[in-house]
Amino acid sequence: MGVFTRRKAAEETGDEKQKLATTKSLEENIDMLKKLLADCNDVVYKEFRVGVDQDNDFVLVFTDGLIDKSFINEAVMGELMIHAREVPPEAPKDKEKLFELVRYGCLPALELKVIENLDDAVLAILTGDAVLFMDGVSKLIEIGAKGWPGRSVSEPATESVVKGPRDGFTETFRFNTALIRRRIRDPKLKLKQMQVGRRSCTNIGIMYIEDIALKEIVDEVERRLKTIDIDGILESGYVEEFIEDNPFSLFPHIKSTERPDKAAASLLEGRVVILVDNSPFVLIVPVVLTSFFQASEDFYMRWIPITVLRFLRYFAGLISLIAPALYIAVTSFHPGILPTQLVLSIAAAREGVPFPALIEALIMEVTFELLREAGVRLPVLIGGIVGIVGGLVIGQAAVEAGIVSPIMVIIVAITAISSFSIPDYAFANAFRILRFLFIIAAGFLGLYGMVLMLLLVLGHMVKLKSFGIPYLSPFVSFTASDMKDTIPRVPMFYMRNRPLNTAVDKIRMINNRHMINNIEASKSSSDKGGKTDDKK
Amino acid sequence: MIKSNDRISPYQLAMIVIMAVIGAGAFHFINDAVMAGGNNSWLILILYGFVNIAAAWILITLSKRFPEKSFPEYIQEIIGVIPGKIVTIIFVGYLLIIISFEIREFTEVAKMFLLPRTPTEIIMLTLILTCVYVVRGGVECVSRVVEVLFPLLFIPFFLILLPGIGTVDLTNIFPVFRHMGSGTVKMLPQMPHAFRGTELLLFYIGFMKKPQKAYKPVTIGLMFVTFFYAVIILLSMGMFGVKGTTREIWPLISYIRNIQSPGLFMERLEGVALSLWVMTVYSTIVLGYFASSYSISKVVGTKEHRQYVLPLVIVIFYIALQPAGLAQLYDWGNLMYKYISSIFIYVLPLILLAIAALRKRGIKDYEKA
Amino acid sequence: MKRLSLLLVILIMSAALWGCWDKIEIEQRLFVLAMGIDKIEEEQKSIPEDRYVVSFVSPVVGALMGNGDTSFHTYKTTGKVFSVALNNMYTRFAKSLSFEHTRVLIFGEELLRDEELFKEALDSIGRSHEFHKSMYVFAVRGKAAESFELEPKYEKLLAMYISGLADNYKYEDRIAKQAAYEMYSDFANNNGNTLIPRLIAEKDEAKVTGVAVIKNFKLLGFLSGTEYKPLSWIMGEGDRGLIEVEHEGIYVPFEYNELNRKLKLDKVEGDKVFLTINLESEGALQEYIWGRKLLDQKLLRAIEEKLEKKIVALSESALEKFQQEYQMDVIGIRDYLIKFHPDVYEALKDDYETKFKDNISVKINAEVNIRRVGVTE
Repeated sequence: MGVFTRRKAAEETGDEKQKLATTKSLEENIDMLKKLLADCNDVVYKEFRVGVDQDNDFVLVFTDGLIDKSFINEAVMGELMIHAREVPPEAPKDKEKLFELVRYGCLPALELKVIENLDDAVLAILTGDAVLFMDGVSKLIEIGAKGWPGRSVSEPATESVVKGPRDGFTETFRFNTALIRRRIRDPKLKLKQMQVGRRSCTNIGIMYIEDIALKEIVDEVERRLKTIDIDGILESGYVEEFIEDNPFSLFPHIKSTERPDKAAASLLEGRVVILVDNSPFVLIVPVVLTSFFQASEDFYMRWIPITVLRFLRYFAGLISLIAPALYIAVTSFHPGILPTQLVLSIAAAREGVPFPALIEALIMEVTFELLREAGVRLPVLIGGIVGIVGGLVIGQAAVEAGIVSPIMVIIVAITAISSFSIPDYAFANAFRILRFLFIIAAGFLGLYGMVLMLLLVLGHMVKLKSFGIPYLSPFVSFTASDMKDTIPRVPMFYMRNRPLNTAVDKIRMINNRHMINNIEASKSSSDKGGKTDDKK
Repeated sequence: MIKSNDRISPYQLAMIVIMAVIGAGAFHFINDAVMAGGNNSWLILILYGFVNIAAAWILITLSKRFPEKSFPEYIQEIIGVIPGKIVTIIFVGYLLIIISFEIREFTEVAKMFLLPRTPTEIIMLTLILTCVYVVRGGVECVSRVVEVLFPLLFIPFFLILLPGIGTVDLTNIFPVFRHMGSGTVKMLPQMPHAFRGTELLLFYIGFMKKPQKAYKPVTIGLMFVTFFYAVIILLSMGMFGVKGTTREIWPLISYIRNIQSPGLFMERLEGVALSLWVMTVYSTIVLGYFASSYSISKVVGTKEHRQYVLPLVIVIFYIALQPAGLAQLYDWGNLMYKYISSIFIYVLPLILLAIAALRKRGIKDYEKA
Repeated sequence: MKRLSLLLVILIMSAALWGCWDKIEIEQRLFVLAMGIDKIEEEQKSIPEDRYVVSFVSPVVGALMGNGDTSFHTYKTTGKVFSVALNNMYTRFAKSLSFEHTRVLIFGEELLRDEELFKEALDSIGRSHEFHKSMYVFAVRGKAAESFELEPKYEKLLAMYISGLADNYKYEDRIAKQAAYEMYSDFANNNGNTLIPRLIAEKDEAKVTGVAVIKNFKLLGFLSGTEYKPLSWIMGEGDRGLIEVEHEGIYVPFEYNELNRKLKLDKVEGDKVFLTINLESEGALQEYIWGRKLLDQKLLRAIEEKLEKKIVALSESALEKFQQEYQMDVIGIRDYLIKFHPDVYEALKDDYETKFKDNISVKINAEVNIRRVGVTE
């Protein structure tokens, strides 16, 4: 039986004895460990003796590169090897007593844990902790000394803002939880941790605020995470695919973000945040359609420009979805819709183009997607070249060769720009694919086909749910008060309730704006409620 | 796990009423109404709107007696299992014919203005299959899709009607109140024609958590429908006059065709208006479609309605192909819309309510229960 | 089940790609911008049954971008029935006719004189889903086809030129404008009586002024612009224009920006019906003479009175012409009576046209308000 099966069996039965037990003999323990970790050359076995008489054998095992060596030197090796010699010890002869002394009296390391089986020891070693073996006792001491070269907190590359905090999540799990905790100092902010992945043993954390998030949703998240049985989780994308409601849908219904402020805001709205080790992207559930059109900046800037920008974003979404399809439908099916002058200039522009509008649009859209795909993974320097090539191919050359009409180029350009204005990349991708479906529908039945396509998409969206929340809420199960943070963004002091209507504690703030111009009222209220002032 | 709730909120019920009642027929209805009621048709229609609200209340009172049960379930309680099933099957047949005519009528309009050369079969089949997708999702999806479509449809639609108001001559409604009496009598068959779809409440109130709350949304919904009809009749009469309106088969489309929205990206909007109109046809069909597949599942006694949705496509498609042309469609449609549908909207609920009261079925006073 | 439905959708979607029945590329369409209908003459007939000549203009789209010298082509086709004539075009060129952008419809004189032919053409256009009824209608003396032979000096596209001319009705009341739907609603509500704006085509210029008088779907005659102007006032369609009066030997042009018509039933005596038309206008004087002061209440009042007299005189003669000569009611008295005095109309209903001549007497009053006199005194 290997490590994984034993670990799994212990987890399922809840019986720790399933795991490989330790013995009292140091030699046997180390032998067993060496067998388990055979050919792992990065594991270091540091053997040393402690005591004036040098009669206590210790072995410290750790993985090179994963631990903070100076910390180990200072807090473990120094203490045990030097300090223990300088102070004449009254070392108890009883090994158990000695173990207690070491565990509680000698090691100034911050994280210490007693483990009693070798499987846990192996996991600890591979996670980046050091494990102290001692002769004569079957217990081991796990010393938290994680310290690997990690990326420091830096500005998120995918979600940059003009105004707002510049820190972003990193690959280190603990940094990420700290970044969120720093924003919400509430004991009700809970972090449930678990390890998923048979081989990778990836840390996954569920964060939520206990008295805001609906318990059913938290339980559901936990239940779904526990169903994951895979060898390794390398990124939060893995988790997303395993736990989302409808993996066959085009639309993302779990939001991932790199921004801790966004995660914190979601927590305060009553959502659940899932953090995955080794991934700077945390997952937010449940989310609805409108979440994908919100940027975190929306709350850092004044509400009037943001409301206008929101409108613009939704409009951009619409354009990026239907612009080429509309062009096809209007020019090849219903030219009567357009003004006469425009029709004539489109006809003049298309004079000599050998393809029907449908093919023309497909050519241009595919070219554009190709350029985009090519540019994404290229280094910045070469990326510029792709831009130039694209500009030449899409713009001038194709028009001059008479393959496409200049108007089509304009349409593709507008579509491209619009699709970049959708704040969420995953969501924009869904629209990219849908755009092609719309093009085909329009090429088949014109405007009628487009509307049918729209109805299909809509029919799909009303079916879709994210952890029990309808994807289109608040537009479905309509309540006017929920519209405050959707297409418009009303001033914050009007948003009395949390936007997510499953939130347990619904009220997010008390509107005290009237006190600003009314000094008397504000005084009397601050006299009465000194406590509320403290909170501020 | 958070369960999918197969419940309808009062707001959704209002949307359901509106979208079920306003359908493809609204195009031709103006012609019929003005033909019968002349200048006063809009006034008479408002009058009938209120009569219809009263009729809808009877319908709600009936449904209220059987909370959380819809028509095919409680009719078996009222008049017995076998007769109940027979009535339900007749109702389903009626609904299917209505849906099919709806589809056919829209197809004819679409063929005229949007896709003159596309085969009728293709237009119909694509529309039906689009509906199937949502109907299979159950009452939750159906009510939601209707709810979302309402603003998507009516806001742009009123915006399209707006630029024509300048050319409308509202003095065409004069003389008011003249020959009102005879017009009222002549327009009586138009009432079920206009408000057909109200009968679907028999099904959908059963999905409400608190059916006693149905009065307000249904009233609001039907008032909106009345208002909508009055507005489009007024606009058509204002543009074409009474005689001109009766000349047009689809006065509203002609109205939209006649206006030019100056200085816009789009100049002539009837294509856009018709594409928008797909949405109301779609929701009318979806609502009737779901009601019939649900009823079938209750008659057969299965838990799910899904397996009946796809086979019904063939039935609907077949019925929709039956009318030879527009003239026959309107002849048959008149029979269905004006006479048979009145049985289901007005007569049947009244009879059922009487029987239920006599046989003491259901709960009399919901609040006490 | 799910797979089956999915398969069906995919099948239909893919079948769709083979059959785009209604897809006609925009450059494959021949946009007809203006159309003229004439009664055929013997020598034009290709087969003896032909009754119509339909001619139309369509732009050469390439020329719009600046190359090519002719910016539009003129086509002519004949047929027994209007739509057959159009369909005959398909034997002659490789594009698809598109009438969605037709802006101008011109009727020839001979066609207007032939009730049967005119009604058939009207019905064909009215019934067609392709024509937009917002297009402008015109009548010409002679042949409609001839008006397409002119090459506009000022504008590239003939149709735009003509419809632009009609749009100037806002600036001068001699110009009449009528959209097709207005004509149709006139025909439907007014016993086939209407006025169709008159188009005069010269070599490189066109002129829209005056109207053709159609009574019961038949042409009675043409009115010139100056004859039409007072008529437009009493029809309630006066928008803007100039009236000049002579005052102390000087011609004073008055520009009115508003000319409201108010129709009122005065009394009914036996079978006689008395009505009043009040014309209220306001505007500005445009010129007087160098050195004389115009901003003078007495002077202005005197001019106002002269203007009022002139308006009344002109209007009365226009009314006279329609009441006595044509015996047709285009000024909306019938409409007014139906709407506001249905009982009065009940008595006049049968044989309204002769009763309009004999039993109805209309008095015209005018009121002129000179509000401004320009920027100098």
